[in-house]
Amino acid sequence: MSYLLETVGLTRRFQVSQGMFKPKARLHALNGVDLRLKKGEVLGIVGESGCGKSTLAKILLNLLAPSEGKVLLDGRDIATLGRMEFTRRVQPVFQDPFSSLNPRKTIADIVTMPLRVHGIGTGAERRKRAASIMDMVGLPARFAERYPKELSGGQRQRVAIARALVMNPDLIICDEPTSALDASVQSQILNLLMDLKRELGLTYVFISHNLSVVEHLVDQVAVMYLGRVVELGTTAQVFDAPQHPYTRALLDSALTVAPGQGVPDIGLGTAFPNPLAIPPGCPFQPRCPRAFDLCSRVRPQPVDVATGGAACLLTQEPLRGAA
Amino acid sequence: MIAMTTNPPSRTAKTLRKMLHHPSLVVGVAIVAAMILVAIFAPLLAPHDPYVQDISRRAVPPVWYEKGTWENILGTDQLGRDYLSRLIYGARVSLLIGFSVVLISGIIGTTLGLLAGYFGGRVDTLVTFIVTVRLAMPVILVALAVVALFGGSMWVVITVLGLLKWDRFAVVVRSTTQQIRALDYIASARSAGASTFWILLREVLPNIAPQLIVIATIEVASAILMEAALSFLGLGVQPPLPSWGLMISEAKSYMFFSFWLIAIPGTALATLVFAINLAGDGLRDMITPERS
Amino acid sequence: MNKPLLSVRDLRIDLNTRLGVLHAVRGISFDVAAGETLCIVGESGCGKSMTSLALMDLLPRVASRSAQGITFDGQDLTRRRIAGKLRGRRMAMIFQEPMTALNPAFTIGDQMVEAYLYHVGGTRAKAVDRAVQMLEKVGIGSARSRLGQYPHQLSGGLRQRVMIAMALMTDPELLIADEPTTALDVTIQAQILRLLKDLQQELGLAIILITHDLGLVSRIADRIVVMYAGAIVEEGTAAEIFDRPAHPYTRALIDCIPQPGKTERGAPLGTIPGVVPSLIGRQDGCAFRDRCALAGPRCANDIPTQAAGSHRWVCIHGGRA
Repeated sequence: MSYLLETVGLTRRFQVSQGMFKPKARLHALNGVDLRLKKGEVLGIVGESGCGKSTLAKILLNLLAPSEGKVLLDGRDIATLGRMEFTRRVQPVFQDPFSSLNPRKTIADIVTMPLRVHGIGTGAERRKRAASIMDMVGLPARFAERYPKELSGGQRQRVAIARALVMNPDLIICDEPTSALDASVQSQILNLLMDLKRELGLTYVFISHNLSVVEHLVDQVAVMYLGRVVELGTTAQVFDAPQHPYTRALLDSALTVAPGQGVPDIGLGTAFPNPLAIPPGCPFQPRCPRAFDLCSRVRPQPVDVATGGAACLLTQEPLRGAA
Repeated sequence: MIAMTTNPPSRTAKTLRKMLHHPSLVVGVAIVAAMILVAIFAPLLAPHDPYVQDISRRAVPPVWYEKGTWENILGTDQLGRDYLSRLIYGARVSLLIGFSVVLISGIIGTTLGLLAGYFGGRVDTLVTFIVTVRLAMPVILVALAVVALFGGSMWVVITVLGLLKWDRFAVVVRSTTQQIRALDYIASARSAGASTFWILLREVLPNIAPQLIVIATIEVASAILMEAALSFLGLGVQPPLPSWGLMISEAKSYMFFSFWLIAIPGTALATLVFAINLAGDGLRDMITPERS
Repeated sequence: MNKPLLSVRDLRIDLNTRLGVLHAVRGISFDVAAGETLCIVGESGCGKSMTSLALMDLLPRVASRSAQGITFDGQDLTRRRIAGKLRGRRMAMIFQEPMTALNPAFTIGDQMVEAYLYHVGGTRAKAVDRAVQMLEKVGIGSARSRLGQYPHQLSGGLRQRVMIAMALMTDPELLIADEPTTALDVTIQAQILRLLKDLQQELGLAIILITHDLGLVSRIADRIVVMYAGAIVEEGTAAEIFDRPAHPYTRALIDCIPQPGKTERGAPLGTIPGVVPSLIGRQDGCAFRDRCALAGPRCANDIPTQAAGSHRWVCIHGGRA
């Protein structure tokens, strides 16, 4: 079974200044992340602030190098791929439609930029390609000479998607692509992403904090907490039968339309996750409603990327009897 | 967002129309443009050769005085040279020096600022150190020392000022670049495979251009004044070149007898600097609401 | 029915723009009873935030407000002096971005105490005690030591709690919350919302909560007002709005969001074609008609308000799914 994308033991540390007189602190943004993705699949990454998903996105896009571990594209380490070869195959769609487009360029310039950088095609050919991609994402041709500030948020996001597609990539990393959009625009963009995936055989990594959207869109999902994958599985496995207490808390907090049901008590307490001071043992244990004494001393085994499951002492074999 | 259904006006047309809303900008640009044209067409406009001396016609007052004649509309200086012609050719010197200095200092400062702002880390520390060292130097004194060593001439002045006056460019470009660096379209450009050079030149630079223009206008005015000061002290442009600063210097001994000898180049200098500052202010006003 | 705590009649907000007068809010009316949660829900540009600012008399200078009446406990809020006395005292507001709503240059304690001393007076010591009491009430531990902290030293969730505590210092009867949890993580959001509901129960607080999040609204609202293009298109209880949405916009909006258990995974989501119409210039008839599947020629004329008990909607169609 060959995987389009694989990460092996991905770790990333940062030195963070604590002010002039204190020594620099070590921030573990990612800690041993293992993921796998087949061509044509959608991998969802969910988690809250501090979980490391934005760092993961940057590493997957080769914008940041990992401190340890590697990312494999079709089995090859992306650190060894040339800049040009990598960028032809992996493209981003970012969250903020306002800052992801250069305000001083026309839409046509923005969409054809990757082609110009790679020296693909003549001017006329590039314009034709831009026109056909714009059509595919639902942008009228007359927008080609407009500037980003003349477009709405949803239209700008379509431009960002068009730019991502213009070189026929294999993998698209979507970092919260609809979080800044209204619900009615979000549904259009999500439908577009799903259609494009089918039509062009694309593979997505879809990072989002919106669980309902992730559940709707993805084939497998990784739940992240303080730089680690705490649960991994198919959509059905994770959303219908979550094993990790954090996953359960996340799912309970996602306020779906349920009139009269009120807001559930998640039971997490007020401690907040600080990537600069990751607790010993299980990183979730200070907030976990089901933590027991072993949790603060023993770190759970990381999730096996082949079988999925949860990084929780409650679900891991040797202790199941003792809990 | 309102959907656009008609063809919007071109970017240049919109900019021009916006400019008309700022009278200070229009006035400033008009005056500067007039001076530039005067400088360019100096040979056609000057009634006489500015270097020709005529001792018999020394210190003739301008035409509005009793003893003035239409032969020399602004009179003559202490060596009998036509003052209007010297004034017109003096515009050349001032403007040439102003723009050349800004070109050199702009390139140096912008490059340093871009590198510091984009790369951060050690590059930033190094550039900040260089800027601090430069800021610790009093420009006029250093310029004086260099000129004293190498002798005064227009090109020495341009070189010295150009190599010293880049600090404001560097500081502003650095902070603007830092802000832009964090935006997603830079990450998109990197993800598209663009090289750092491409990104700096074609993604970052167009977005700092407005601020650059504003600083450039301020620095042109500053460079012109500095050259005038140096020439006044005898360490800038050398006679017989008609620099306004030099003309003021030559006229200072005659200040109480032939007042116009100082007043005329002084007024010209003040007007040019004032107009440049007006234009710069107007540009700043025009640009800032766009940013918010 | 008891006299409502807050009553708004025909509120209009206009903005002067270079292209003309923009009618951001076009004559809306609603009531809030004591101790009830009213949610104003809509997408960007619908006028919900403007409405909340108008109630607190915090509109920007380019905006002009007019109304047939805005009364709080019988007092006329359109009079500047009265609004000034009530604002911050009996009516409080919390905002979306805790970092910009709290002054980063002052400690939490200073900010909380300042508001209290201004409105209620008394000694500083009493104000500090009350601040500690409020911080504890919102669930912040070691409250007294927190008073000396600066906003940047706290996480987003904590800052939002501080904002709520600050708003409660003067024991207000009405709390206006403009997207209070949008910038927070979902687990923190759930905690903050529960806190608001608990405080409401305990203190008899009326809450106006403005948001675009339909799920949130369905869970905490007693009554809901749906806004579109500056006007109210539907109003009712949570059950009425979500189980039997009557206005085509409300129905379309609900169809847009993926609902776990209801929408089939991977199936196309509902969309609303077109864009929000321009709010500049006169508006005739229904603002939604260019995007509505049920639109007809009658929609260009004045639209009647239909009602079924407390459930009201502005549409010529029968509604009721």
